[in-house]
Amino acid sequence: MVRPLKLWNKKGQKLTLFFLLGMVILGAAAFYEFAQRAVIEEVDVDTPVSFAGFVDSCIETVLDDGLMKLSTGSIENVARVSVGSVDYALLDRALSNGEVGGQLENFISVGLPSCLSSDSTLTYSGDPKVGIIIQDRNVLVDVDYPISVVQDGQTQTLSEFSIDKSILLGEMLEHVATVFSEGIILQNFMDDIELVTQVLPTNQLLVLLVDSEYLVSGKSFYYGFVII
Amino acid sequence: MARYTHVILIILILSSVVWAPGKVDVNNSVVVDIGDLGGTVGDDGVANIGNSQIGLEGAPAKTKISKGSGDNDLAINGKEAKGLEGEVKSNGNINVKKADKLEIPTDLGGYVKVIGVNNGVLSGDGTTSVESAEAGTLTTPDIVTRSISSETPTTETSFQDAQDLVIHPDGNWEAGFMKQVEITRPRFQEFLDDNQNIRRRVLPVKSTSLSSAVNVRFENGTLIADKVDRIVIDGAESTNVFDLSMGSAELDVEIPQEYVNMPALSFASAQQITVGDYQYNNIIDGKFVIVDNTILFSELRSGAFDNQMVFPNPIPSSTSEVRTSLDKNAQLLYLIKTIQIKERKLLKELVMEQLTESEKIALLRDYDRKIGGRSGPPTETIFRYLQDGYKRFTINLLPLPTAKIQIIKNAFDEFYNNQDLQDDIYSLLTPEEQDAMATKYVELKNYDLNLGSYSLNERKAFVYLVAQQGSIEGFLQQISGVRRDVLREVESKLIEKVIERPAKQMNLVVDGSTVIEFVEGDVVKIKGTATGEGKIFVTEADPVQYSLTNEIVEYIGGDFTDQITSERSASTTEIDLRVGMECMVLSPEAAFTYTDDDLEKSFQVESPHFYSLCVKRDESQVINEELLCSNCGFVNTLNKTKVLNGFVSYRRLIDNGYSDVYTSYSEENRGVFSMDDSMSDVNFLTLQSTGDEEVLASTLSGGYLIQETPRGTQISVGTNGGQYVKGYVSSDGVIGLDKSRGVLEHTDHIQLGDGQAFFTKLLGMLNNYYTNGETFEALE
Repeated sequence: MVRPLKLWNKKGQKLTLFFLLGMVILGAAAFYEFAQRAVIEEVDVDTPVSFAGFVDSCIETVLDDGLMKLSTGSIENVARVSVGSVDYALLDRALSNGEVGGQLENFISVGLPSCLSSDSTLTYSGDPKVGIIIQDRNVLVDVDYPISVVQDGQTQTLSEFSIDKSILLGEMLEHVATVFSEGIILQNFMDDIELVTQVLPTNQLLVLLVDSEYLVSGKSFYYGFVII
Repeated sequence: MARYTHVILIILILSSVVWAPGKVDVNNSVVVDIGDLGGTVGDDGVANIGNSQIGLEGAPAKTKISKGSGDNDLAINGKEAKGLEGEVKSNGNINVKKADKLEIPTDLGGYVKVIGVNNGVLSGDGTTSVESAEAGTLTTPDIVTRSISSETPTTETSFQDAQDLVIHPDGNWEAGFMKQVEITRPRFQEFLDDNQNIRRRVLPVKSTSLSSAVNVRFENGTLIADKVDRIVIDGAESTNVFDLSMGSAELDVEIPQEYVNMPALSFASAQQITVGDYQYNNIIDGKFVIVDNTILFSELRSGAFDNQMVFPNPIPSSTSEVRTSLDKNAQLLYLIKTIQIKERKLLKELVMEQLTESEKIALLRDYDRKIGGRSGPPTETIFRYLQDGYKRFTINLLPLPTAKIQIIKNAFDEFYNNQDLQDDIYSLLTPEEQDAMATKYVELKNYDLNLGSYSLNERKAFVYLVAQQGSIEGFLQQISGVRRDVLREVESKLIEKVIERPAKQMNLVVDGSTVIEFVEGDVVKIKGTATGEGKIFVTEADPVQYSLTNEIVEYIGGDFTDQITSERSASTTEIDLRVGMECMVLSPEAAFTYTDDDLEKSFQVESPHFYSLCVKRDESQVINEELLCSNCGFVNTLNKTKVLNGFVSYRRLIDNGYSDVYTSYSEENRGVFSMDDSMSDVNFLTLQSTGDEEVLASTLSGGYLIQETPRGTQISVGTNGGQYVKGYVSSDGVIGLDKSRGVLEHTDHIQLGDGQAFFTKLLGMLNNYYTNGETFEALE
């Protein structure tokens, strides 16, 4: 004998009602989540705004990668000294703001198409033109790179992208310049940039300048190098 | 009537002499009563006395002949010949073939008596020569004063069995041989300058005797002999001595040593010298002053290798003896003298040295009973208890004898109730500073702040009293409106004074590489090794002071040594035989080295300038640790701290040699080392660094070279990897050193704020640490 479902019984009247309400809320949340994901996917491929955002995020990702490489002293292939598992650049002078900017420009110029390739709907060709401005507390990246996306038979193209990354790279480079011109003056590192040094077995000095405010890829950014 | 007859006879005789052409040529009156002499004068002009004949032919001009004091005696020109036998002839000289006694006054008030004379000649120039004499005495005034009086010091000489004796009219004499010579100089000789002021005084020489002296002579106060079998000076015996010289001006006992230029006794060589219980062998070129069987001065060379010598050390609280081993030809100078010394005495010392141990214990018990909560060291507690009692007029209630209380009151009065000192301190200050100090006082006392309402004497008293209170309570240096250096001078006047007093000093000078050991029994307490012409001067003081030049001096403790290496100029150190070196003044580039059996504790301090350093290891040591002093340092093993201010290098033993760990290149630098419990490593170095130099201070830590510069604290790679300085605090920053990784992380986790304010706070804490036994916990 099948007993009919009793939505209303004497003892469980309220419980059943709450159960139904919970189901409704859960369903609404699931729908909202679905809707959100649908929006993101839609932005990625369908709208100019989301398309530009994707490119910007790609630029930032590549910039972060570049900064991570730069944190060992130089992005370029230079003489290095192994400290633990990291090979730090062996420097006999400070890299200038322009030199570091140039390295990042090249890195982004090379790395950006690769990042963009994760979205097959985008079309682009050639190398992007990247301009970097390193300021005390941020890095401005301007990319001139025509990127097109086809949707509904229409082609949309954007060429200019720009991001502003908060990082104390400019301050750090000034400190590095001072280190090479005046030595490591501890009082210079009392505020937002911390200093960590280590004398290596080779009697060379590893210098790490740590950005105590901003993160890169979820970690404190540092700029390290070994002084000859 | 017969008397007049004799006179007439003499006149007639002499007249006949005068008028006897070819016999004599005497132009002055010659008075001889031959009859009284028991003699006759023949027609040939020869006077016969007893068995003697006096030949007056060719007698010196102005010859005066008179009767001697006894039979057969004759006086010629004041020189008396007694018991004459045989012939006395005059042929320009007066020859005495044989005489029982010759008594001859000398030009300067001296006197010569010679007994048993054979073949003597009294020359016309006043010289007396004797071929042999059985004995004699010579009294020679020491020719050091302008006028001769009964007070004139003299040298008394007696001899036996002299041969070829020549006595000069000035008192000098010489002999080819004397079997025995005795010399005494009973009083100090005084040497006068042109203004008749006493230029120096020289020691008397008592009871000097020579045996078998060859070619012995006395010249201007100096006794000289080519060889002496034995010489005994005041009981000190020397044997087989060659080229002996015993001078008259040997040793200055009152005035600086540079006036000492002549030794009491010198010789080319001596086989053995015995002075009291001490014996010295094989000595070359020896010079000695020996009084009361004690050597006051000796300068010598060794005639043998490994020549062991022991000298008494008369300096109280030093060891009883010093000993050395001289190489052949090595030189040694040993001198005991009295000098005036200036001694800095702390009020605390002046008070504490009055107390017996039982009185100290009684005071501590009284303190515990009445006040309690004692936190500082016992010495400090007792002193402050007495000081407090003095200030509160309750000192009479303390458990001390009344007389002792009065003595202690007097000591405090000299500093706290002294009109001269009050005026002195007031005069150090400018009018503005005087007002600042006086204002501070009236503020503290809640008096009327209008200084104009007080008399000058009251204002002086205010300054004096606030200086006292500030000194006692530790706020004197913080009084604003007064120069810091003046405040320090004021404070020093309130806690210490300079006392001048005579003190014994022992000087030791040796050749390079000679080792001098200060021994107590067989135990070597202090060892000095000469690095050139080594000098060690030991001066009576509390503790005894040792001044050294070209020397490495070590105090040998049970499990450690204190060492000072001082070259070129003198360094001075106090050494307390119980605990080691205490306070010292290191000359430029002289190093103090503490070497422990546990080598990790060893360290060295050196400065390019004069540097004062005190080491406190025992509670009983009274040392004024002035943390703000200039070019000075304190090592305190009780509080586990080292303070090194000014130009200084602090070194640790690294790879068997001492290497710089901390070097300060500025006089204004102040470094406070907080040591670990073993006094090995520096937990943190607190450095206040100012100056114009490019590099003010360098510290090596964990492979880093940390340099203080006018721009700030600069780090670079150092030259050694020792982690002797684990933490470093400079004026503006704190560095922590991660031991495990050797990574230096610069951090400001200690909230320094204003660096200067931090230092003021830190130094205040350090001051409390020293005086009240507080700890650094608040900082750590």
